Amino acid sequence: MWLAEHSRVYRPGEVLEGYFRLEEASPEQVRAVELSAVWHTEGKGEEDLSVHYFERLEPASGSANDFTQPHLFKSILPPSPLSYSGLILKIRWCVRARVFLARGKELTHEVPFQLGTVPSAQSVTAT
Amino acid sequence: MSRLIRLYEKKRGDRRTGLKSVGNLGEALFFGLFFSIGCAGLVYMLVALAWPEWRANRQFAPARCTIVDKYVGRATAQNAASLYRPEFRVVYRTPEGEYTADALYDVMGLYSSDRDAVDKLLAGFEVGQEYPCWYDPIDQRPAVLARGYSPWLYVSLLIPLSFMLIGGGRLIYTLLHWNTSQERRALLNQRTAQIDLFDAGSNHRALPTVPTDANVTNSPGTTLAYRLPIATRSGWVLFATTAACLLWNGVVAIFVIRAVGGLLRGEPQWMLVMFVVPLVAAGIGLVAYLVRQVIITTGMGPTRLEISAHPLVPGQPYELFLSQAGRLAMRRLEIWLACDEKATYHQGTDMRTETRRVFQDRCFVRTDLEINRGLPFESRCHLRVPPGAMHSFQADHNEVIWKLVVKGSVIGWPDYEREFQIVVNPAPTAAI
Amino acid sequence: MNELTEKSNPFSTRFTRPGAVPFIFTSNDTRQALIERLRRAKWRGQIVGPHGSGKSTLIESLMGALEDAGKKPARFRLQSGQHRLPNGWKAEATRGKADVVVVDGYDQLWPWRKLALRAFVNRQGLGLLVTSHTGCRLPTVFRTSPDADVFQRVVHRLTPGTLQAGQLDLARAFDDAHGNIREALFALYDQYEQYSVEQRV
Repeated sequence: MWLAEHSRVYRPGEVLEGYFRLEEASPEQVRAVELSAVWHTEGKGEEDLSVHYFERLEPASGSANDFTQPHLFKSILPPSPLSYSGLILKIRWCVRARVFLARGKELTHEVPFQLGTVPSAQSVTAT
Repeated sequence: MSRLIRLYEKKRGDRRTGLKSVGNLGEALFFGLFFSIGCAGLVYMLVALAWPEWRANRQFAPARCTIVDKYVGRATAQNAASLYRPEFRVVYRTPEGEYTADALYDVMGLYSSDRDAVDKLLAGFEVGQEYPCWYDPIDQRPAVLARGYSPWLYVSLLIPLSFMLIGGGRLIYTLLHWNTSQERRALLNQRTAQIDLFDAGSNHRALPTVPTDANVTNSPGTTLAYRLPIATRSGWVLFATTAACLLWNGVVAIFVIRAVGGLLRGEPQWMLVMFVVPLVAAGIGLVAYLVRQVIITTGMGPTRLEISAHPLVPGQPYELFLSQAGRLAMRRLEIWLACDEKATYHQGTDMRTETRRVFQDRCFVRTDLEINRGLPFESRCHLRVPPGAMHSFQADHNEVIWKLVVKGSVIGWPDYEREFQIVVNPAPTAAI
Repeated sequence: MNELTEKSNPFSTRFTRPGAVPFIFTSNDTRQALIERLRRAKWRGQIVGPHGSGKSTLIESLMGALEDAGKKPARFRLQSGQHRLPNGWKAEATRGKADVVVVDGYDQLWPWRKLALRAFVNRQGLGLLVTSHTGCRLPTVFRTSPDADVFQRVVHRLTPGTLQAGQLDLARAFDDAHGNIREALFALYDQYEQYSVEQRV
């Protein structure tokens, strides 16, 4: 999976555009592929997660070859939450691909991206 | 790509292990049964009770009948108790001809354990007399001597309906979440959460995760646009401290009385005295803390903070209006703009919350001032959230909180702090 | 700040929560030995240990081993302030045809709830495996008491090859936390953040 503009910092309202394809067509049956743009937190608190964009693809012929051609996905990014690198809390955006195979197996792959340009937080001693 | 991906992942955490699909099937069957029971109950009540009653009231034809005989019909309940109902033998005429048939009082013909009520009802009808009746025009029978609707029946329909709602709702939920991924479940939950019947705070949806500013915009100021609600309520602290002080000292007093009584009688109970001493010390500490809280609450007077606009946006200037009442000789009075991160973690069976300050800036300071009762100190100042700063953020376990903190250092009295939470939106210039 | 180049802090909760890191046995104990101990106690047992010593992590590690031993677990985790099992727990245990009820945080239950749970498992002939900070009148199958060596091994699991010796003060973090591994990992989170800032500068 790759984004149209690799390693780019996006602004709210911009179009997130990318492509997905299976590089090595597995002999196992591909039941479905889910593409999502999510943000999640990371840090000292429990992980919070929210889905901004979601698309579920099911192969017409039931074969993995349906996904060997690049599939375009597009979404307009929201105004919030912006990517953030705090001291005990970070907010990260990524595009996630989840491939459902036969017998309940799943493969996942993530491509991170940045939304907004919020500077990293600095430690401050409360007065 | 295959090197980056774990081929098989056992799910851990709060979920039980074992095949999820089998668990989902079990859940679907269980709630499907709930739903089926509800459906069956509803169908029975409609077909056996509600429908005949409706027909009797809407479709039965009127006639006049002569009572040939009347008696008490009997049945036996499952617990072997006797049940009764009024039954009649009547003669009535329809366009088809004359009929002699058994008739019930009403179309439902329900049995009751109250024999006296049945006897009283039968006493209202005389054999040989004529009374109005209603019969089914389709086959000329049955006939009934009374009509009407039973309110209890329609209330009782709620029982099977609730079974259907619970079972059906959960069944639909299980089917929707059958073998769904984490992202799909999060999306379904988000869609449910977005169904807000009262639509409180459009800010909330236009800016996901930015908290609503309804608390502020519902509170207009007298000098500037909005009055900021205070985050820390000293009244509740005072109430809680008073309650704790009374409770603790009340209990300790019982022990103190016994200990002192023993000493006065010349029969000292030294173990009791040793036990009571630290309790009394703690009680004195609580009283001292209570006095401090009373001083802070009554002596300081209310702090009022108003702002020219809300919510805030990074980089924009805003005006603040401060009013501090009381009777105080102050060393220093300050307003700080601060930003905290807050993270909550359920660790094993404990809960842990950590707060870390990531920004603070003083936007107002005044030293050596005297505030007189009835004449609050008032002043204005400006504030600006740094351009590009992080916006307010609120999720289930993590938050970025912006606030204004009023700090007072009072000569001869304890220092105090009052917090006013504000909402900072993402800068619009950051967006296209 | 370019988030795309910034690595995740390996001590974030998503990497340290129970189940994310497997339980590390220090002595000759293994998962199988623990299961065998539980079997000999007729599938009734407790895992005892202080806060942050890895009880929840051990429970996570045992789930698969229980199933391998032919026992299907029904697991309930009590969080802070929770003094009863979730509504419908009995139905969940019986519907799922569980063989062992696993309660993480058993000592949080009200006494009558404990009695009800014990009566239920006795009636249904189920096993019971619990975690507790203190003994609760069940055979002890394991006592968690982490030491500095375990803590080091946990840290190396979280940071394979990404940290060099001396970059983080593990001993200080462990001592300051008085042996509470969870708190020590939170302290390392802060140390790593500080280290990352210094690297960027």
